[in-house]
Amino acid sequence: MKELILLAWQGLKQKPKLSALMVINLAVGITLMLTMSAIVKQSSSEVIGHKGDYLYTAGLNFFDSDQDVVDFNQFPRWTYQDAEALKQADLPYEHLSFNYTTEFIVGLADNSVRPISVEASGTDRDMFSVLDAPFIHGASWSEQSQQSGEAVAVISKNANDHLFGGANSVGQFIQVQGEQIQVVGVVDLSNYKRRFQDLSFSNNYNHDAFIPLNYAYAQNFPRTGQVSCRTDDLYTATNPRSGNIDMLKSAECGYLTVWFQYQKDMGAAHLAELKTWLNNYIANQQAVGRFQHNNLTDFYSMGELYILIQRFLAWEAIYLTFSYFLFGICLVNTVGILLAKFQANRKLISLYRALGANRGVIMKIHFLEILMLTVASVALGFVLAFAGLELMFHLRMYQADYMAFAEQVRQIYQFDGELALLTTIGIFLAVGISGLYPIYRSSRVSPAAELRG
Amino acid sequence: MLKMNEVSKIYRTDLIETHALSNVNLTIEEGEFIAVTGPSGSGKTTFLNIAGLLERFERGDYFLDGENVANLNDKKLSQLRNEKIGFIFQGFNLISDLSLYDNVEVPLIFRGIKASERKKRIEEALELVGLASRMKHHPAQLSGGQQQRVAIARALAGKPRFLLADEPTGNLDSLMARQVMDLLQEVNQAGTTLIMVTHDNELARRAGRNIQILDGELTDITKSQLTELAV
Repeated sequence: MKELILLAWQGLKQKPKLSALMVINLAVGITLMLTMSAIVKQSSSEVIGHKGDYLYTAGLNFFDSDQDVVDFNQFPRWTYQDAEALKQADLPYEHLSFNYTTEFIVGLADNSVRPISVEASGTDRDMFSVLDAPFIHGASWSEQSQQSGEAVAVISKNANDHLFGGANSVGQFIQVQGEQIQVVGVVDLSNYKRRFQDLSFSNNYNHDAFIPLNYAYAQNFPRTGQVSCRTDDLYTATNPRSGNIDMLKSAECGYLTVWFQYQKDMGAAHLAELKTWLNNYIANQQAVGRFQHNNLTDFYSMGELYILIQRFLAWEAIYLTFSYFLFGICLVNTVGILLAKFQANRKLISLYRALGANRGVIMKIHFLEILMLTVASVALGFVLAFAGLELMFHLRMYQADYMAFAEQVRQIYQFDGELALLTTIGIFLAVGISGLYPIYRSSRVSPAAELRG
Repeated sequence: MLKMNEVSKIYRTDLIETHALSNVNLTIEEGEFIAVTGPSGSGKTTFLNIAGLLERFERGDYFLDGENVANLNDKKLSQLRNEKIGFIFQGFNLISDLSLYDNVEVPLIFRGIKASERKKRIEEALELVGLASRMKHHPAQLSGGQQQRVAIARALAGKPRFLLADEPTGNLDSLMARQVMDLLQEVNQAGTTLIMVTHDNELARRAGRNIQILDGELTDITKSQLTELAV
């Protein structure tokens, strides 16, 4: 076999430009396919996918009947009063959690580090259970802290790295809007490819701080996520974002995202109870003039949401299809290049045949030659795919004005080993099949064909 | 022994049939030196290709060392070609990227001979043609005569029973041609049957027996006739 490999190597050297052309041709196809496959796979991969059928979010539509709400994205978030009513209801769930997205500047009292602007979440301690939050230091705040709205926070690893140099900051204080907030935990959400908890599904960055809702209300941290109000009055519609908190609590303005986590295998049954309760609640509210729309509720499990967000990946899917198509063209080119290469090698083949190589040996030599070319193509394709993903990562960061959280964005543009393995197997099969005809043709070269002169 | 009975070779296209060889009857004994002469297009090379199992023939029987090769499959033909026949071509047909050693090694690889045995045979063959000291050189570093000697070494390394040479001196000047012919005669005298196609009557006279092919038909002619032809 070693000798045949050496003869195959000789074949490669016979027409180096054609060999190089084949390697480049295949490598380009591999690069495109691998790059796009990795991005689409990482973009569509689920966060906490194991909760796909027992973690739900719901929409409750308090809009007027003339406001279109045709799918979940257009559903308003929950109002304060509806959220409070739900909290009071006696419904079965493991966790019920509300959150809204806010922004503030966080620093340290001694100004020893540069303050940073962060996106944060006003939420409850159940959120950490919903998130399966990977705490690297400390834990969630207590129930008592939550009820009393204490100035406590869980911060992200990103914020902790910036503010405390990565040290355990539990018990330390951060400063927000002049107030001292005690850090009780540090979570690392950098592996969460999308921020699902506020339904933004952003893959640029996750929340860098989590604070109790009651404290957020007390400090009136602004509502910077989705806020939808049932009014045409500009003041009433915009004021709840950062205005009077009492006005927010009584307004027909939705800003809270809700999550229901049920016991495993009990999701459907318990969801039915929620629907019954909501129907009753809506009926009661309709008596006082609310809920006039004909599309009042909507429910999505995490699994269904991830199917829904595939819509956002339409362009990526087109690119992926395009990359498969291009790879197909590359394979067709490969057949052509191999035919040209083996045609150009007819004299060598003829000589081998004259010296005693039977057709089987000629086929083996050319199969090995194709194998070597494919190995080189895959290696080059991997290098180019690495470079391509790195380039796309930097372009993405540039697009986000370098405000995105690099570690999270990196998740989308990372080289996927499993995908690379599958791609490699697929490429060897595809090239092997593509090479069959050229190999067959080469084995048919007559021993006497090219030896005159 | 090589024996052909009524061997015919026809080349066909859509429009015409060309009888390259017609009913050839020939017996060549072990150790003979045969020169095959004839004008261009007469069928000399076709004869050599068929004798060397490089081409198949349409009709007749061909016995190589007593084995009828008419209906053998490609694998068996390749094996016979590798084990019993050595080829020397006008254009040498060496592989330019390989060293002399590697060039001589190629047919031995196809036979599946172990590396140690291959090494011994290659060294012996290159020694025989006087190029043992240059075995790491590449063909481009040699003169035409030396390249042909490498081709002879490649043919001899497999210890063939038959050596088939197609215009072996056609690309060489007269001095080198003489050296190559001397070498081939030495090989023949050592017991290898030599069948040589040539245009050159001078070279043909070195052979023990001459065959002339004209329009695909083969005629055995004596040395005296050859001399007359030359005159």
